[in-house]
Amino acid sequence: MRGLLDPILVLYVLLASLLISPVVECLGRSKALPSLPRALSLASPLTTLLMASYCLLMPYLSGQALGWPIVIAFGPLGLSTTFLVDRASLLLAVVALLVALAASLYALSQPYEPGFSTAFLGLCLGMVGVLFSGDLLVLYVFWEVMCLSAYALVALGGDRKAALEAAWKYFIMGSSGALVMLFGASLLYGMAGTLNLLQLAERLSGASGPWLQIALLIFVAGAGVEAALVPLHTWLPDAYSEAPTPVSATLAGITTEIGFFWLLKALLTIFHQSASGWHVLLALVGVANMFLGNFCALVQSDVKRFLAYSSLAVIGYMAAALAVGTAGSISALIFLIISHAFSKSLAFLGAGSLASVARSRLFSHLSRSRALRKAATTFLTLALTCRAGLPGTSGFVEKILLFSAFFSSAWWWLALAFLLNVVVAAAAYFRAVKELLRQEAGGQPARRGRTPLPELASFFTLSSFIIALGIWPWLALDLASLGAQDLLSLGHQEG
Amino acid sequence: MICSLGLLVLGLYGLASKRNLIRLVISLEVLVNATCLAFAALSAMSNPGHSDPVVGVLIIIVLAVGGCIAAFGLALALAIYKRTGTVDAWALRKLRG
Repeated sequence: MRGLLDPILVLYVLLASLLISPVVECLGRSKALPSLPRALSLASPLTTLLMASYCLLMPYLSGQALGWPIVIAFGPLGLSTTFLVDRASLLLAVVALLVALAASLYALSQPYEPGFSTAFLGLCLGMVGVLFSGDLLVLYVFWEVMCLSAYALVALGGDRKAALEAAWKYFIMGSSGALVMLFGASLLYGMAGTLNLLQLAERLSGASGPWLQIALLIFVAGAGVEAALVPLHTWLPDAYSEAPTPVSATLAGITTEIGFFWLLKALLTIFHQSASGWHVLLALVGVANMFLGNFCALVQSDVKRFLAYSSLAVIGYMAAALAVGTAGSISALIFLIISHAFSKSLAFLGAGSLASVARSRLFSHLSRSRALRKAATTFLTLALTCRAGLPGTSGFVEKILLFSAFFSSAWWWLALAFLLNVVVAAAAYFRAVKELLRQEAGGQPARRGRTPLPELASFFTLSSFIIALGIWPWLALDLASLGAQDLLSLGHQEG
Repeated sequence: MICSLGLLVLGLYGLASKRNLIRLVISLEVLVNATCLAFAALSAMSNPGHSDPVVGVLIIIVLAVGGCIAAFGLALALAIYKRTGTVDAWALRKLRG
């Protein structure tokens, strides 16, 4: 029993929207219906957001026992297309669609680039598909849908030459990463004779040997490109900074995190009972991510590059939480993904709004456009202070959760590295706020301006969640811990 | 399996060493073929005498996705050529730091 609404319908609606989007793009070129593609890229995430929220919240609020995770197989298990929907995936799908909705709301105030709607819907479909996939073939197909759409969206950036360079780097690294990951999947297939996640977990349980370790290494290296693990992160600052603002917000907010989430799902399912050593490897990579991200963010003068490097540090926190691997650290990780998605998207949207008026992304120029975009400045300041960990925002709760998860485990050195990095990150964020609110020597320009209404709507949507999660985090915490329970139980399911 | 490993190394070497954008796309296609060959070889090794239908389906789908990757890569290379007048990857060095 799956309740009144099947989660797979979310994928169907997104797929249908993607299939009709080329026709809608063509209709949008006529003078009669110029805003039809924008309407589609707004309506599709909104509809699917409502559907996914219903699937997640109705069983939770009514106390209905559904037997999570839900396995949706088209044919006999092992020979079929399989989707595996657990509460963590569904929760992240809701967050992804919410971020996508805020980004497409913001995009209403920007000039429309032909093809944006199709690529954006492809990105939404890919993200939800990756979250729901239950076998490695389904995963690869949705992974490529997500990545190809993301490369196309990055290439639509304002400074077209730089955007093409960023898209090219992202394309080469992302595609080779996906193919290397698929090669790792072929080794797993050779050992277990299946591509189904649950069957792989069952058949590889207790297995050992060099091939399993090689498959693990190849798998982590492949997925690590999209998840931006050091040293495979070099595409990230370029892609985030050159992409159009709504795209940067979606990529930084949730797409990279979904790449990481899938790595988490694979490690907890396939390799949990078999391969060893990935905990230490991931902890070391996580610490490298934290230090590199935070110290590089500290010296950036470009606001989007600053935000991109700070995302790298957050990936480091996630890798460290995954390395610890307890129920507490996994639920802290899920809460971190949610909190980071809202705050980082808001920061990118606010920074993009200011940069579009200042016609520059440098901190020193942004403060000049403050008077023209007061609301954007306020919301950007809120997002930056949230990321710094100000009490009353979700950033504070996330840091408390992570610290207690590290401290209560045997990984004391991770807790120490995390604490050090939280201090460095706070310094970087407060430096950014100081630069943003700096008074110009000649005083503020006499011109005054208003933030456009669609931008305001997207800022309000995201900031309300940041504050709500900071003041009343219990619902999200409860859902995150149920999601963590589901994820940890995947490795012990019967195939 | 040895052939597929060879192709994987060749593809990765191509990605690391080539400067021409078109050759980089070709290296990606070599990686696609390496993966398909690895699946076919491992399927034949683990099921002697008959082939696994899942692998057949997988190879067809992966080749189709490989076609999409090549088409996208060539379109991107063409757009870069139109903007910069070159297909040399080393000309794309504006973004640093």
